[in-house]
Amino acid sequence: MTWTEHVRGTYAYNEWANSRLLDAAARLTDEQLTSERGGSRGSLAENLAHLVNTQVGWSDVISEADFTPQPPLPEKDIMAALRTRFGESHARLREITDGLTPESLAAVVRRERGGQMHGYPRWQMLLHLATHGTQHRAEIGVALLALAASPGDLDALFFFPDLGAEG
Amino acid sequence: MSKLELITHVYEYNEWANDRLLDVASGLSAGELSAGRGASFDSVLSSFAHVAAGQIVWLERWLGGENATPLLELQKMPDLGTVRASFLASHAGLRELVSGLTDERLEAPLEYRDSRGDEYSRPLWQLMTHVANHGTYHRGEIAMMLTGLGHSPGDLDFSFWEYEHHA
Repeated sequence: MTWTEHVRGTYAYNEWANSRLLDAAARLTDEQLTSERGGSRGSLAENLAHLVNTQVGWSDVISEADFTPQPPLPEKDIMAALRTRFGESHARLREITDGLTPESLAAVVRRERGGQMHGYPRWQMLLHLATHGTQHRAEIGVALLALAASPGDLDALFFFPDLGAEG
Repeated sequence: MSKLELITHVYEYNEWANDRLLDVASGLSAGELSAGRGASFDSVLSSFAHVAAGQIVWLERWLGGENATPLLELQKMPDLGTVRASFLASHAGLRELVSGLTDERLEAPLEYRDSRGDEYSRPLWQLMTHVANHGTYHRGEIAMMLTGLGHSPGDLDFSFWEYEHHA
């Protein structure tokens, strides 16, 4: 497996795991989705929005595009809005990762941080985004479990079964 | 960009993030550590134990091709002191492994057996990125639980750590 293939696999896993969350969250009411559940952003809806908005924002940075601001979630039909946003983001990430080359992975991309421009290799940004997704999915998973809407096992071993058993 | 550079960064981040959470968790009572809070491994303590045991198991496989003790046995850690000692030893082992790695060794297939005796073969770098991702996932759950107990660990993002340590 080449490095670019691994990145594509990582983002395929990212999309699969996000979809599991969305399917679980779809079993909840808007009231449950917007109630305070802890985690980084309070409610499940806001945590899911943070997850996808971060994907959108970093996709802009990674592809050196202009920033695409995301509107607040609607008060009703929250899951429909989230599914649309995630669907568009996943399609964009597939496009980005399908177009990767070893050179583009190593290329330095500049982004603003703390009021200054900094350069980071594209692979670091992709690594950060994937790691960010894993962390926040874990938080969302705990909140879903507390509402009896478990997303099931999100460990990468279940997406890549040929990695072997955990124990 | 080499896989060696990636793995080195990822495991430095992994150790920093584990230690950060352990430091925060040291402010909890024994009861708070052990209370069921709905994560994959229920409590803060059990979640930590699972991450540490996972690192130990996989390190044994990378060094010797198999793990002597099943994960479910290893993760029976009674208190935070035991967990800390396990992480300390595991981090030292991982640092030693990473410091001696080469790109060739990372690319080479590693043959290993799980505790059921089933055999697998995957490039070492894929296995190492899986274990790092596994740690990130469970740290997300631990961070959620710590925050719920009034002990937020703060920003654990890879990009935050990268900026603070390598900018």
